[in-house]
Formats: sequence, C-alpha cells, structure tokens
Amino acid sequence: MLMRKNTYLIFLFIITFFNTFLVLAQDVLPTNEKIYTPNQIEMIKDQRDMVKKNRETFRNSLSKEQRSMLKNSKLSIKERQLALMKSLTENQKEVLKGNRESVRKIKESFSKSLTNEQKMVLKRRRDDLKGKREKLKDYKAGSNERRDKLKQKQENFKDRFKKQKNNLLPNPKLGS
Amino acid sequence: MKKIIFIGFFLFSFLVSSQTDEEDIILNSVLDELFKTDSLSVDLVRSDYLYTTFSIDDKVYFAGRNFGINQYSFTPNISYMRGQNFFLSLGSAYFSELNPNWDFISLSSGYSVFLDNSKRFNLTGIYSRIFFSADADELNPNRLAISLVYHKKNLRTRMSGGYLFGGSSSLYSALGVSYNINLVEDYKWDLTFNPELSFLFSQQTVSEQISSGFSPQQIEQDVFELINTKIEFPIELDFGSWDFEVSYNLNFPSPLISETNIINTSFFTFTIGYFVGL
Repeated sequence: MLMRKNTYLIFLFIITFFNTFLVLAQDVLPTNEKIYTPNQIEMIKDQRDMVKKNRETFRNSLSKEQRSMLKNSKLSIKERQLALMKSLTENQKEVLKGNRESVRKIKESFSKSLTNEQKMVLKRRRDDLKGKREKLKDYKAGSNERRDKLKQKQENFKDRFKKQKNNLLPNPKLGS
Repeated sequence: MKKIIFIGFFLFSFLVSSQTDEEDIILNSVLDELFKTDSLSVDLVRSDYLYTTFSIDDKVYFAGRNFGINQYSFTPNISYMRGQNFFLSLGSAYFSELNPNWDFISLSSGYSVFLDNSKRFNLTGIYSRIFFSADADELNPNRLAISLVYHKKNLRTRMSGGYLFGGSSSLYSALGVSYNINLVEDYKWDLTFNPELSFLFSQQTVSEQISSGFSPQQIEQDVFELINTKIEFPIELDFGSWDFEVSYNLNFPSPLISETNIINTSFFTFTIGYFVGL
C-alpha cells in the first residue's frame, strides 16, 4: 500500500517537473541572430568594434597629469570627470567627435535597414521585457507593510510621532 | 535600528571590497559614458534583470485611513529577477514625520511559475523578512504570501493572500483588477493609462463595548473583513529602460465596528523606475 502511494507521488512529481520545464522552456526570447539579418548583425559588431577601438585609443592618449587628476581624492568623482573633460587636448576631442559621428551614422543606417516586421519583433520583445517589469511591480506591490494590523501600526506611529515632537522641544537641563 | 545598521554595514563592506582600483573605476566610468557599445541593439537577450524604483506618496494612509499625522513618504526599492521565475527584492520606507524616519527595511524573495502554456495564469510565492527601525513587538517581521495573476489582453486580475507573523499575527487577502489602455504607442516608447480597482480584506482587532450588568465592558476580538476599496488612475511613460508614473489614488475605507467618522481619502504617487538587463 505504502509502495503504491510512493509510486503515485513520484509519478506526480515527474509530471509536475516536466510540465514546469515545458512552460519555462517557452520563456526564451528570440535571439539577435533570429531577429536581424547577417548584414545588420555585422553592423552591430562593427559598431561595437569601432567603439572599443576608439575607447582604447582615447585611454592610451591620456597623459600622466590627466591620470593623476583622476586620482585626486579631494574632488568628487563627478568633479574629476569634469576636470578631465576640461583638460582634453584637441586630438582627444577629435577622437570623441569622430566616435560620436561614426556611431550616429551607423545608427541611422541601422534604423533605416529595419523592416516593419523586425520592428514588430523588437516591439514584442520589448513588451516581453515590459511583462517582466510588471511582474517585478507585482512582487513589489505585495511588499509594502501597510497590511499589518491597523491598531498596532497606528499605536506604533503615534508613539514615534510623539517622540519626534518631544525631540523638537528645548532641553530644560541645558537651559536652552 | 541595530539591525538596519548591521545590514547597512554589510552592504557597505560588500561595495568597498569590490573597489579594486579607484583610478580604473573612475576612468572606466568616464569611458563608459563617452563610448557606449550597445547603442544599436535595442535589448540583448539576457536572463538577469535589475529593476530600481523610487516612489513618493504626497500623503500617507494605511488601508485608506488617516492616522492623524500629515506626512509624505518615499519608498526606494531594488529588485533582482532571474529569468521569469526567481526574484529578490530589497525595499525601505521613509515617513517624514516619524522618529526614526526610516520605518523598515524589507527583504523579499519569491518564485513564480506560469500555470498554462498561453501564460495567462501566473502563480507566485513570496517570503518577506521585515526589519523595523523602531521597537515594535506587535508588528509582524515575517510575511508569507501567495498571488495568482490572470492576464488576458489588456485585462489583469490579481488575487493574493498572506500571513503575517512573528508579532500580532494576521491574515490578509486582496483582489485587484486593472485594464491597460495604450494612449500613445511607438516601438521606442509608449504612454499608458492603467486604471485599477482593488479590495483589501484583512484580519483586524476591534474593540466593542457590551452592556454587562451595571457597567459596560470592553471586549476585543479579531474580525476578517473588507477594510478598504481603492481606485488608482496611473499614467505611465515608458521610455527604454526608464519608466515614469504619476498616479491619483482614491481610498474608500470600510469602517470596522470600533471606527467612527471614517472618511474617504486621496493621494498622489510619483514613481521613477529603471529596468536593466544584467
């Protein structure tokens, strides 16, 4: 009898496992290779390679002074970034400008190359991501603690509100 | 409070230990800003996501009730999601007129599965641990919850139930129905209106006066009933990784036996969210 019960449980577990696996297997989004043409993928790759190359050129062009500027702990990170930007040489500015221009051009031709069908797929993929975000919102919605017992929460709040008020009163011992 | 300091210290230590070379980090942050490598591909196929939100409520109500304190609140939250199933969430709440202002830090984790192939039914189990900043023996630091979402086209129905324990334990259940209306839709951004009607049922302690002989007696008992009906009117702008939401909310609290002069309340919520694949 016990043996039979265990067999049922194992069977039920296997069915549940495979069912879950099948449902999860459908969660896979279409990959870039399935959405874009080889030419478009090449454009994405070119853009990345070009940006990486420009990045390295820029990085290697930084002088000792510029690097030490980045180590200046008296300045905030934002201020260090601004100081570096102000110290750029004409060549470095050219690298940045060239990078911006090339990216803009590739982006333009990439956008033009997208068919309506591809745009739809991209939109569907974005919607899928939106669905994920909605899920995270759902999780978050349940995590607010405004579902506790009202009486207890109100007492806790009133007590802490009184404390706040008392803290604002002058301290008689200090005579202030 | 000690718990919050401990968690803060733990997170801070984690951040500090990951900073290997300050110069490289700053340089990389400047270079990342100047040389973005993934501007062409709209979204890469990723399985890990991070969603950060910051919400501000201009007024604070609990189940639609005003506790007699005029204050605003804000709630930062960061959630990590793996695939579509596992998530981990860290959140907190700040109340402008309380001492201490930070009410709690909550750490939640959960797992969700689709119950059908068409992905209309989604079941989620959540456990939350809440670290309150002030001593609150009667408040519940643990929550076990389950929710079932039914999603068809623009209609979304969410049923949830939870058990709060570790203090004065309590049960709750909620039902929410929302309908998504696309106001502007583009493949890069969209604007939506998503009105929602929700009902909150909860176990509450009520005091009741009963006549017993010559003197009236006050007895306390637990009831489980509808305590609030809420209507939300959110408008959301979704722009790439960013989303912005403004919502007008109306509460219609249902009076418990011990409550008199209960009034309807309303408030605004403003939320900024950032969603990114890792």
